[in-house]
Amino acid sequence: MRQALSILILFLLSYISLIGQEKGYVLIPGGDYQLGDTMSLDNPKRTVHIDPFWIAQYELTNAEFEKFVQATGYHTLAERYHNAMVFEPGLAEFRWLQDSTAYWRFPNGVSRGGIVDKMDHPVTCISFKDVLAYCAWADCRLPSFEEWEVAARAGSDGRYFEGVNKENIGQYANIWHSRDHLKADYSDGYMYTSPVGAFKPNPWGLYDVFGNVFEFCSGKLNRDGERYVAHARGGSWWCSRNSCSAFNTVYIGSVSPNASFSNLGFRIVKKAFTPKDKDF
Amino acid sequence: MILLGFISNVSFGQEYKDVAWNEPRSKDSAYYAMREKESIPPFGLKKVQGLVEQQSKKLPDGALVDYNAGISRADFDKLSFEEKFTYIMIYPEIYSQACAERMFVFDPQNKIFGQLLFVYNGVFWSERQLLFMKKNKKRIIDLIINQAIQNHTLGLNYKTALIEIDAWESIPFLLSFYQKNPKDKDILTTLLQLLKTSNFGAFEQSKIYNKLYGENTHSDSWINFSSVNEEYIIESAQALYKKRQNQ
Repeated sequence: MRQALSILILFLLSYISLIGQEKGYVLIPGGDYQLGDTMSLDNPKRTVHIDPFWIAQYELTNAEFEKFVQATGYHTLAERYHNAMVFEPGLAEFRWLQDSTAYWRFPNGVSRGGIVDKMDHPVTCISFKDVLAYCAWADCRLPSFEEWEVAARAGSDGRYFEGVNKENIGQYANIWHSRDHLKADYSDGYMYTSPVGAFKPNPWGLYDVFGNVFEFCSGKLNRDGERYVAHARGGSWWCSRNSCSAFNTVYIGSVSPNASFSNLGFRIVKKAFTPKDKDF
Repeated sequence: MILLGFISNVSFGQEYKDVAWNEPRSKDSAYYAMREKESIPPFGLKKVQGLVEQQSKKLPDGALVDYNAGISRADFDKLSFEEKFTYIMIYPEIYSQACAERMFVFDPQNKIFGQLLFVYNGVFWSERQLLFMKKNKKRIIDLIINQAIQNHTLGLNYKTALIEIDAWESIPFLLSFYQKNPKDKDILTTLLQLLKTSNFGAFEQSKIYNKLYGENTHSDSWINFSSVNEEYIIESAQALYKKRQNQ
Protein backbone atom coordinates (compact mmCIF):
# COMPACT_ATOMS: atom_id res chain seq x y z
CA MET A 1 0.00 0.00 0.00
CA ARG A 2 2.80 2.34 1.01
CA GLN A 3 4.68 1.44 -2.18
CA ALA A 4 1.62 2.13 -4.31
CA LEU A 5 1.19 5.51 -2.64
CA SER A 6 4.86 6.35 -3.27
CA ILE A 7 4.46 5.48 -6.94
CA LEU A 8 1.35 7.64 -7.18
CA ILE A 9 3.12 10.58 -5.52
CA LEU A 10 6.12 10.10 -7.83
CA PHE A 11 3.79 10.02 -10.82
CA LEU A 12 2.04 13.18 -9.70
CA LEU A 13 5.30 14.99 -9.07
CA SER A 14 6.59 14.00 -12.50
CA TYR A 15 3.36 15.25 -14.07
CA ILE A 16 3.52 18.53 -12.23
CA SER A 17 7.14 18.90 -13.21
CA LEU A 18 6.23 18.23 -16.85
CA ILE A 19 3.54 20.89 -16.73
CA GLY A 20 6.03 23.23 -15.13
CA GLN A 21 8.32 22.72 -18.06
CA GLU A 22 5.65 23.22 -20.67
CA LYS A 23 7.26 25.22 -23.41
CA GLY A 24 7.30 28.89 -22.58
CA TYR A 25 5.43 28.59 -19.28
CA VAL A 26 6.38 27.98 -15.67
CA LEU A 27 4.02 26.44 -13.16
CA ILE A 28 3.95 28.53 -10.01
CA PRO A 29 2.99 26.35 -7.07
CA GLY A 30 0.03 27.32 -4.96
CA GLY A 31 0.47 28.07 -1.28
CA ASP A 32 0.84 30.76 1.33
CA TYR A 33 3.43 33.39 0.50
CA GLN A 34 4.87 36.29 2.41
CA LEU A 35 4.60 39.35 0.19
CA GLY A 36 5.06 43.11 0.39
CA ASP A 37 7.23 45.34 2.49
CA THR A 38 6.66 47.00 5.85
CA MET A 39 7.46 50.40 4.36
CA SER A 40 5.10 50.19 1.42
CA LEU A 41 1.67 51.77 1.53
CA ASP A 42 0.66 50.14 -1.74
CA ASN A 43 2.08 46.74 -0.97
CA PRO A 44 2.20 46.15 2.80
CA LYS A 45 3.85 43.09 4.27
CA ARG A 46 1.34 40.27 4.55
CA THR A 47 0.73 36.59 3.92
CA VAL A 48 -1.28 35.77 0.82
CA HIS A 49 -2.70 32.49 -0.40
CA ILE A 50 -2.14 31.84 -4.10
CA ASP A 51 -3.58 29.05 -6.20
CA PRO A 52 -1.23 27.43 -8.73
CA PHE A 53 -0.97 29.11 -12.11
CA TRP A 54 1.10 29.00 -15.28
CA ILE A 55 2.98 32.13 -16.18
CA ALA A 56 4.96 32.90 -19.33
CA GLN A 57 8.71 32.57 -18.99
CA TYR A 58 9.18 35.63 -21.17
CA GLU A 59 7.57 38.98 -21.68
CA LEU A 60 5.26 38.97 -24.71
CA THR A 61 7.25 39.73 -27.85
CA ASN A 62 6.65 41.91 -30.88
CA ALA A 63 6.34 38.73 -32.96
CA GLU A 64 3.55 37.42 -30.74
CA PHE A 65 1.73 40.74 -30.74
CA GLU A 66 2.03 40.92 -34.52
CA LYS A 67 0.11 37.62 -34.82
CA PHE A 68 -2.73 39.21 -32.87
CA VAL A 69 -2.76 42.29 -35.07
CA GLN A 70 -2.62 40.24 -38.26
CA ALA A 71 -5.45 38.00 -37.10
CA THR A 72 -7.76 40.74 -35.92
CA GLY A 73 -6.75 43.97 -37.70
CA TYR A 74 -6.61 45.55 -34.24
CA HIS A 75 -5.45 49.15 -33.96
CA THR A 76 -3.83 50.15 -30.68
CA LEU A 77 -4.79 53.33 -28.86
CA ALA A 78 -1.48 54.93 -29.86
CA GLU A 79 -2.34 54.32 -33.53
CA ARG A 80 -5.81 55.76 -33.10
CA TYR A 81 -5.02 58.79 -30.97
CA HIS A 82 -1.34 59.47 -31.71
CA ASN A 83 -0.61 60.09 -28.07
CA ALA A 84 2.22 57.68 -27.24
CA MET A 85 5.02 58.69 -24.93
CA VAL A 86 8.60 58.02 -26.01
CA PHE A 87 12.11 58.48 -24.71
CA GLU A 88 15.30 59.87 -26.14
CA PRO A 89 18.54 60.62 -24.29
CA GLY A 90 18.80 64.20 -23.06
CA LEU A 91 15.53 64.33 -21.19
CA ALA A 92 15.36 65.29 -17.53
CA GLU A 93 14.59 62.57 -15.00
CA PHE A 94 11.05 61.13 -15.28
CA ARG A 95 10.41 63.16 -18.41
CA TRP A 96 8.98 61.63 -21.61
CA LEU A 97 8.04 63.08 -25.00
CA GLN A 98 4.74 62.78 -26.76
CA ASP A 99 5.32 61.48 -30.30
CA SER A 100 2.41 61.25 -32.67
CA THR A 101 4.29 58.77 -34.89
CA ALA A 102 4.94 56.23 -32.14
CA TYR A 103 3.09 52.93 -31.82
CA TRP A 104 4.17 49.36 -31.21
CA ARG A 105 5.96 49.02 -34.58
CA PHE A 106 7.88 52.25 -33.83
CA PRO A 107 7.86 52.31 -30.05
CA ASN A 108 9.97 55.45 -29.76
CA GLY A 109 8.64 57.15 -32.85
CA VAL A 110 9.47 56.68 -36.53
CA SER A 111 12.61 58.81 -36.32
CA ARG A 112 14.10 56.51 -33.65
CA GLY A 113 13.68 53.30 -35.60
CA GLY A 114 11.30 50.38 -35.83
CA ILE A 115 11.14 46.79 -34.64
CA VAL A 116 11.88 44.92 -37.90
CA ASP A 117 15.04 43.46 -36.39
CA LYS A 118 13.56 43.37 -32.88
CA MET A 119 10.74 40.88 -33.23
CA ASP A 120 12.11 38.95 -30.23
CA HIS A 121 11.98 42.05 -28.02
CA PRO A 122 9.02 42.66 -25.74
CA VAL A 123 6.17 44.55 -27.34
CA THR A 124 5.87 48.09 -25.97
CA CYS A 125 4.01 51.30 -26.70
CA ILE A 126 0.76 49.51 -26.04
CA SER A 127 -1.79 50.64 -23.48
CA PHE A 128 -3.38 48.56 -20.75
CA LYS A 129 -6.57 48.48 -22.81
CA ASP A 130 -4.63 47.10 -25.80
CA VAL A 131 -3.22 44.42 -23.52
CA LEU A 132 -6.70 43.40 -22.41
CA ALA A 133 -7.73 43.16 -26.06
CA TYR A 134 -4.76 40.87 -26.70
CA CYS A 135 -5.65 38.72 -23.70
CA ALA A 136 -9.27 38.39 -24.89
CA TRP A 137 -8.04 37.22 -28.28
CA ALA A 138 -5.34 34.88 -26.95
CA ASP A 139 -7.51 33.45 -24.15
CA CYS A 140 -5.00 34.37 -21.50
CA ARG A 141 -4.89 36.93 -18.73
CA LEU A 142 -2.54 39.17 -16.81
CA PRO A 143 -1.09 38.08 -13.50
CA SER A 144 -2.56 39.72 -10.43
CA PHE A 145 -0.25 41.89 -8.30
CA GLU A 146 0.23 38.98 -5.93
CA GLU A 147 0.79 36.32 -8.60
CA TRP A 148 3.38 38.50 -10.31
CA GLU A 149 5.18 39.02 -7.02
CA VAL A 150 5.18 35.33 -6.09
CA ALA A 151 6.57 34.42 -9.52
CA ALA A 152 9.16 37.21 -9.41
CA ARG A 153 10.40 36.40 -5.90
CA ALA A 154 10.80 32.71 -6.77
CA GLY A 155 10.73 31.64 -3.15
CA SER A 156 12.73 34.56 -1.77
CA ASP A 157 11.24 36.81 0.88
CA GLY A 158 13.31 39.86 0.04
CA ARG A 159 13.09 42.63 -2.49
CA TYR A 160 14.96 40.57 -5.06
CA PHE A 161 15.01 36.90 -5.91
CA GLU A 162 17.89 34.84 -4.57
CA GLY A 163 21.31 35.76 -5.89
CA VAL A 164 20.39 39.30 -6.87
CA ASN A 165 21.30 42.52 -5.16
CA LYS A 166 21.50 46.12 -6.23
CA GLU A 167 25.12 45.65 -7.25
CA ASN A 168 24.81 42.62 -9.55
CA ILE A 169 21.30 43.19 -10.85
CA GLY A 170 22.74 44.16 -14.23
CA GLN A 171 23.38 40.44 -14.89
CA TYR A 172 19.68 39.72 -14.51
CA ALA A 173 17.99 42.82 -15.80
CA ASN A 174 18.12 45.28 -18.66
CA ILE A 175 18.13 48.53 -16.71
CA TRP A 176 19.61 52.02 -17.02
CA HIS A 177 23.09 52.19 -15.49
CA SER A 178 23.96 55.87 -15.86
CA ARG A 179 23.48 58.49 -13.18
CA ASP A 180 20.83 60.31 -15.22
CA HIS A 181 19.17 60.10 -18.63
CA LEU A 182 20.99 62.95 -20.30
CA LYS A 183 23.18 60.63 -22.40
CA ALA A 184 22.48 57.25 -24.00
CA ASP A 185 23.39 54.26 -21.84
CA TYR A 186 24.53 51.20 -23.78
CA SER A 187 26.67 49.83 -20.95
CA ASP A 188 24.74 46.52 -20.87
CA GLY A 189 24.42 46.42 -24.65
CA TYR A 190 20.96 47.96 -24.87
CA MET A 191 19.60 51.45 -24.46
CA TYR A 192 15.96 50.55 -25.02
CA THR A 193 14.56 46.99 -24.82
CA SER A 194 16.66 43.83 -25.18
CA PRO A 195 15.56 40.51 -26.70
CA VAL A 196 13.53 38.58 -24.15
CA GLY A 197 15.69 36.13 -22.22
CA ALA A 198 18.95 37.97 -22.92
CA PHE A 199 19.71 38.22 -19.19
CA LYS A 200 19.87 35.56 -16.46
CA PRO A 201 16.55 34.10 -15.27
CA ASN A 202 15.23 33.95 -11.73
CA PRO A 203 15.48 30.59 -9.88
CA TRP A 204 12.08 29.52 -11.22
CA GLY A 205 13.10 30.15 -14.82
CA LEU A 206 11.39 33.47 -15.48
CA TYR A 207 13.36 35.96 -17.54
CA ASP A 208 13.30 39.74 -17.32
CA VAL A 209 11.08 39.94 -14.24
CA PHE A 210 13.20 42.94 -13.39
CA GLY A 211 13.94 45.50 -16.06
CA ASN A 212 13.41 45.37 -19.83
CA VAL A 213 9.74 46.42 -19.61
CA PHE A 214 7.32 47.18 -16.82
CA GLU A 215 4.77 44.37 -16.84
CA PHE A 216 1.09 45.23 -16.61
CA CYS A 217 -0.73 43.37 -13.83
CA SER A 218 -4.37 43.20 -12.85
CA GLY A 219 -5.37 44.74 -9.55
CA LYS A 220 -6.48 47.89 -7.82
CA LEU A 221 -4.77 49.90 -5.11
CA ASN A 222 -6.54 51.67 -2.28
CA ARG A 223 -5.27 55.00 -3.50
CA ASP A 224 -6.93 54.51 -6.91
CA GLY A 225 -10.28 55.23 -5.30
CA GLU A 226 -12.91 55.39 -8.02
CA ARG A 227 -10.33 56.14 -10.69
CA TYR A 228 -9.53 53.60 -13.36
CA VAL A 229 -5.77 53.18 -13.07
CA ALA A 230 -3.49 50.60 -14.65
CA HIS A 231 -0.56 49.15 -12.74
CA ALA A 232 2.70 47.61 -13.83
CA ARG A 233 5.61 46.00 -12.01
CA GLY A 234 9.27 45.06 -12.21
CA GLY A 235 10.87 48.20 -13.60
CA SER A 236 12.15 48.70 -17.12
CA TRP A 237 15.15 49.53 -19.30
CA TRP A 238 14.57 53.16 -18.33
CA CYS A 239 14.83 52.58 -14.56
CA SER A 240 18.07 53.38 -12.77
CA ARG A 241 19.34 53.11 -9.23
CA ASN A 242 19.27 56.89 -8.96
CA SER A 243 15.79 57.45 -10.32
CA CYS A 244 13.01 55.11 -9.26
CA SER A 245 14.89 51.80 -8.62
CA ALA A 246 11.59 50.15 -9.53
CA PHE A 247 13.27 46.88 -10.49
CA ASN A 248 12.22 45.00 -7.38
CA THR A 249 9.39 42.87 -6.04
CA VAL A 250 7.82 45.58 -3.90
CA TYR A 251 7.00 48.60 -6.03
CA ILE A 252 3.76 48.91 -7.95
CA GLY A 253 3.76 51.50 -10.71
CA SER A 254 0.73 53.43 -11.92
CA VAL A 255 -0.26 54.76 -15.30
CA SER A 256 -3.40 55.72 -17.19
CA PRO A 257 -5.00 52.67 -18.84
CA ASN A 258 -5.05 54.70 -22.07
CA ALA A 259 -1.35 55.60 -22.01
CA SER A 260 1.24 53.96 -24.24
CA PHE A 261 4.88 54.18 -23.19
CA SER A 262 7.91 52.57 -24.79
CA ASN A 263 8.85 50.89 -21.52
CA LEU A 264 5.48 49.27 -20.78
CA GLY A 265 4.77 45.69 -21.82
CA PHE A 266 3.32 42.54 -20.34
CA ARG A 267 3.69 38.86 -19.48
CA ILE A 268 0.73 36.54 -19.73
CA VAL A 269 -0.82 33.88 -17.53
CA LYS A 270 -2.71 30.94 -19.01
CA LYS A 271 -6.41 30.90 -18.44
CA ALA A 272 -9.78 30.64 -20.05
CA PHE A 273 -11.15 34.14 -20.27
CA THR A 274 -14.30 34.83 -18.25
CA PRO A 275 -17.10 37.31 -18.96
CA LYS A 276 -16.04 39.18 -15.83
CA ASP A 277 -12.65 39.99 -17.30
CA LYS A 278 -14.27 41.35 -20.44
CA ASP A 279 -16.03 43.99 -18.36
CA PHE A 280 -12.83 45.98 -18.17
CA MET B 1 -9.44 12.07 -12.21
CA ILE B 2 -6.87 13.21 -9.68
CA LEU B 3 -5.10 15.11 -12.42
CA LEU B 4 -8.33 16.66 -13.61
CA GLY B 5 -9.05 17.63 -10.06
CA PHE B 6 -5.65 19.23 -9.79
CA ILE B 7 -6.18 21.20 -12.97
CA SER B 8 -9.70 22.28 -12.12
CA ASN B 9 -8.42 23.61 -8.81
CA VAL B 10 -6.37 26.18 -10.63
CA SER B 11 -8.42 29.24 -9.89
CA PHE B 12 -7.38 32.83 -9.82
CA GLY B 13 -8.43 34.35 -6.57
CA GLN B 14 -6.20 35.27 -3.66
CA GLU B 15 -7.15 35.64 -0.12
CA TYR B 16 -5.44 37.76 2.50
CA LYS B 17 -4.61 35.50 5.42
CA ASP B 18 -3.37 38.19 7.71
CA VAL B 19 -2.17 41.72 7.50
CA ALA B 20 0.98 41.96 9.53
CA TRP B 21 2.07 45.50 9.18
CA ASN B 22 2.22 48.59 11.28
CA GLU B 23 -0.10 51.28 10.05
CA PRO B 24 1.64 54.62 9.64
CA ARG B 25 0.95 56.98 12.51
CA SER B 26 -1.86 59.39 11.75
CA LYS B 27 0.42 62.42 11.96
CA ASP B 28 2.77 60.83 9.41
CA SER B 29 -0.16 60.17 7.06
CA ALA B 30 -1.43 63.70 7.55
CA TYR B 31 1.97 65.05 6.61
CA TYR B 32 2.01 62.96 3.43
CA ALA B 33 -1.47 64.25 2.61
CA MET B 34 -0.16 67.79 3.01
CA ARG B 35 2.81 67.03 0.74
CA GLU B 36 0.46 65.73 -1.95
CA LYS B 37 -2.06 68.56 -1.81
CA GLU B 38 -2.47 70.61 -4.95
CA SER B 39 -3.62 74.23 -5.18
CA ILE B 40 -6.61 75.10 -7.35
CA PRO B 41 -6.53 78.62 -8.79
CA PRO B 42 -9.87 80.45 -8.70
CA PHE B 43 -9.49 82.41 -11.96
CA GLY B 44 -12.32 81.42 -14.31
CA LEU B 45 -12.38 78.00 -12.70
CA LYS B 46 -15.90 77.09 -13.83
CA LYS B 47 -15.26 78.36 -17.34
CA VAL B 48 -12.08 76.31 -17.63
CA GLN B 49 -13.74 73.22 -16.17
CA GLY B 50 -16.54 73.68 -18.71
CA LEU B 51 -14.07 73.83 -21.60
CA VAL B 52 -12.36 70.67 -20.41
CA GLU B 53 -15.70 68.91 -20.11
CA GLN B 54 -16.69 69.98 -23.64
CA GLN B 55 -13.38 68.67 -24.93
CA SER B 56 -13.96 65.32 -23.26
CA LYS B 57 -17.38 65.02 -24.89
CA LYS B 58 -15.84 65.59 -28.32
CA LEU B 59 -13.58 62.58 -27.90
CA PRO B 60 -14.22 59.84 -30.43
CA ASP B 61 -14.17 57.06 -27.88
CA GLY B 62 -16.29 57.38 -24.78
CA ALA B 63 -14.09 54.84 -23.06
CA LEU B 64 -11.16 57.22 -23.09
CA VAL B 65 -12.19 58.77 -19.83
CA ASP B 66 -8.92 60.49 -19.10
CA TYR B 67 -7.55 61.07 -22.55
CA ASN B 68 -5.55 64.24 -22.18
CA ALA B 69 -5.50 65.89 -25.56
CA GLY B 70 -6.02 69.31 -24.05
CA ILE B 71 -8.29 72.06 -25.24
CA SER B 72 -7.76 73.50 -28.72
CA ARG B 73 -5.25 76.24 -29.36
CA ALA B 74 -8.10 78.60 -30.30
CA ASP B 75 -9.93 77.94 -27.01
CA PHE B 76 -6.70 78.34 -25.08
CA ASP B 77 -5.91 81.66 -26.79
CA LYS B 78 -9.35 83.02 -25.90
CA LEU B 79 -8.69 82.58 -22.18
CA SER B 80 -7.34 85.46 -20.11
CA PHE B 81 -3.83 85.08 -18.71
CA GLU B 82 -5.15 84.12 -15.29
CA GLU B 83 -7.57 81.60 -16.80
CA LYS B 84 -4.72 80.05 -18.78
CA PHE B 85 -2.89 79.67 -15.48
CA THR B 86 -5.93 77.94 -13.98
CA TYR B 87 -6.19 75.62 -16.97
CA ILE B 88 -2.54 74.60 -16.71
CA MET B 89 -2.69 74.04 -12.97
CA ILE B 90 -5.78 71.83 -13.11
CA TYR B 91 -5.40 70.12 -16.47
CA PRO B 92 -1.98 68.70 -17.38
CA GLU B 93 -2.11 67.52 -20.99
CA ILE B 94 0.19 64.53 -21.35
CA TYR B 95 0.61 61.18 -19.68
CA SER B 96 3.29 60.43 -17.14
CA GLN B 97 4.35 57.37 -15.23
CA ALA B 98 4.61 56.88 -11.53
CA CYS B 99 7.10 54.04 -11.11
CA ALA B 100 6.34 53.79 -7.39
CA GLU B 101 5.42 56.71 -5.25
CA ARG B 102 4.24 55.27 -2.00
CA MET B 103 7.25 53.95 -0.13
CA PHE B 104 6.63 55.24 3.32
CA VAL B 105 9.20 57.08 5.39
CA PHE B 106 8.43 57.25 9.07
CA ASP B 107 8.42 60.65 10.71
CA PRO B 108 8.44 62.52 7.37
CA GLN B 109 7.66 65.82 9.09
CA ASN B 110 11.18 65.72 10.51
CA LYS B 111 12.88 65.02 7.20
CA ILE B 112 13.94 67.12 4.27
CA PHE B 113 13.44 65.28 1.00
CA GLY B 114 15.61 65.81 -2.05
CA GLN B 115 12.63 65.78 -4.37
CA LEU B 116 8.98 66.65 -4.19
CA LEU B 117 6.38 63.92 -4.63
CA PHE B 118 5.17 63.34 -8.19
CA VAL B 119 2.62 66.01 -8.93
CA TYR B 120 -0.69 64.82 -10.43
CA ASN B 121 -1.38 61.15 -10.91
CA GLY B 122 -0.46 59.77 -14.31
CA VAL B 123 -0.39 63.10 -16.13
CA PHE B 124 1.98 66.03 -16.48
CA TRP B 125 2.30 69.35 -18.28
CA SER B 126 2.78 69.19 -22.03
CA GLU B 127 5.53 71.04 -23.87
CA ARG B 128 3.11 73.82 -24.82
CA GLN B 129 2.04 74.23 -21.20
CA LEU B 130 5.62 74.30 -19.94
CA LEU B 131 6.57 76.74 -22.68
CA PHE B 132 3.74 79.06 -21.73
CA MET B 133 4.87 79.08 -18.10
CA LYS B 134 8.51 79.65 -19.03
CA LYS B 135 7.69 82.46 -21.47
CA ASN B 136 5.58 84.19 -18.83
CA LYS B 137 7.81 83.35 -15.91
CA LYS B 138 7.46 86.62 -13.99
CA ARG B 139 3.67 86.73 -14.19
CA ILE B 140 3.39 83.05 -13.28
CA ILE B 141 5.61 83.59 -10.23
CA ASP B 142 3.49 86.59 -9.20
CA LEU B 143 0.27 84.59 -9.50
CA ILE B 144 1.69 81.72 -7.46
CA ILE B 145 2.98 84.08 -4.78
CA ASN B 146 -0.33 85.95 -4.53
CA GLN B 147 -2.32 82.75 -4.36
CA ALA B 148 -0.02 81.24 -1.74
CA ILE B 149 -0.23 84.33 0.44
CA GLN B 150 -3.99 84.50 0.08
CA ASN B 151 -4.55 80.83 0.90
CA HIS B 152 -1.66 80.36 3.35
CA THR B 153 -0.56 77.29 1.43
CA LEU B 154 1.74 76.48 -1.46
CA GLY B 155 0.42 73.37 -3.23
CA LEU B 156 2.54 70.67 -4.80
CA ASN B 157 1.65 71.88 -8.31
CA TYR B 158 2.76 75.43 -7.47
CA LYS B 159 6.05 74.21 -6.01
CA THR B 160 6.63 71.98 -9.04
CA ALA B 161 5.85 74.86 -11.39
CA LEU B 162 8.41 77.07 -9.64
CA ILE B 163 11.05 74.39 -10.11
CA GLU B 164 10.06 73.76 -13.74
CA ILE B 165 10.45 77.42 -14.69
CA ASP B 166 13.64 77.79 -12.63
CA ALA B 167 12.05 80.50 -10.51
CA TRP B 168 15.12 81.66 -8.59
CA GLU B 169 13.41 85.04 -8.41
CA SER B 170 10.91 83.52 -5.98
CA ILE B 171 13.59 82.67 -3.39
CA PRO B 172 12.89 85.67 -1.08
CA PHE B 173 9.20 84.80 -1.10
CA LEU B 174 9.91 81.10 -0.42
CA LEU B 175 12.12 82.01 2.51
CA SER B 176 9.56 84.32 4.09
CA PHE B 177 6.72 81.89 3.37
CA TYR B 178 8.72 79.10 5.01
CA GLN B 179 9.20 81.21 8.12
CA LYS B 180 5.42 81.50 8.40
CA ASN B 181 4.83 77.85 7.47
CA PRO B 182 7.78 75.98 8.98
CA LYS B 183 5.84 72.71 9.00
CA ASP B 184 5.99 72.55 5.22
CA LYS B 185 9.52 71.17 4.76
CA ASP B 186 8.85 70.78 1.03
CA ILE B 187 9.49 74.50 0.76
CA LEU B 188 13.09 73.66 1.68
CA THR B 189 12.96 70.92 -0.95
CA THR B 190 11.82 73.50 -3.51
CA LEU B 191 14.80 75.67 -2.56
CA LEU B 192 17.10 72.65 -2.84
CA GLN B 193 15.79 71.91 -6.31
CA LEU B 194 16.36 75.52 -7.38
CA LEU B 195 19.91 75.26 -6.06
CA LYS B 196 20.42 72.01 -7.94
CA THR B 197 19.03 73.40 -11.20
CA SER B 198 21.39 76.35 -10.94
CA ASN B 199 24.45 74.09 -10.65
CA PHE B 200 25.46 76.21 -7.69
CA GLY B 201 29.09 75.27 -7.15
CA ALA B 202 29.36 75.50 -3.37
CA PHE B 203 26.14 73.56 -2.92
CA GLU B 204 27.32 70.78 -5.22
CA GLN B 205 30.35 70.28 -2.97
CA SER B 206 28.28 70.01 0.19
CA LYS B 207 27.48 66.95 2.29
CA ILE B 208 23.78 67.68 1.88
CA TYR B 209 24.08 67.57 -1.90
CA ASN B 210 25.92 64.28 -1.68
CA LYS B 211 23.25 62.77 0.57
CA LEU B 212 20.35 63.95 -1.57
CA TYR B 213 21.70 63.92 -5.11
CA GLY B 214 25.03 62.08 -4.95
CA GLU B 215 26.07 58.74 -6.38
CA ASN B 216 23.99 56.50 -4.11
CA THR B 217 20.79 58.49 -3.99
CA HIS B 218 17.36 58.00 -5.52
CA SER B 219 14.08 59.85 -5.84
CA ASP B 220 13.12 59.21 -2.20
CA SER B 221 16.42 60.30 -0.63
CA TRP B 222 16.17 62.50 2.44
CA ILE B 223 18.17 64.07 5.25
CA ASN B 224 17.05 64.59 8.82
CA PHE B 225 15.61 67.96 9.61
CA SER B 226 17.92 69.93 11.91
CA SER B 227 18.52 73.59 12.50
CA VAL B 228 21.98 73.18 10.99
CA ASN B 229 20.60 71.67 7.77
CA GLU B 230 17.81 74.22 7.67
CA GLU B 231 20.23 77.08 8.10
CA TYR B 232 22.55 75.74 5.42
CA ILE B 233 19.71 75.50 2.88
CA ILE B 234 18.44 78.99 3.69
CA GLU B 235 21.91 80.55 3.48
CA SER B 236 22.70 78.73 0.23
CA ALA B 237 19.42 79.90 -1.28
CA GLN B 238 20.15 83.47 -0.24
CA ALA B 239 23.61 83.22 -1.80
CA LEU B 240 22.16 81.79 -5.01
CA TYR B 241 19.63 84.61 -5.20
CA LYS B 242 22.35 87.24 -4.81
CA LYS B 243 24.53 85.56 -7.39
CA ARG B 244 21.80 85.27 -10.01
CA GLN B 245 20.58 88.78 -9.34
CA ASN B 246 24.03 90.07 -10.21
CA GLN B 247 24.36 88.03 -13.39
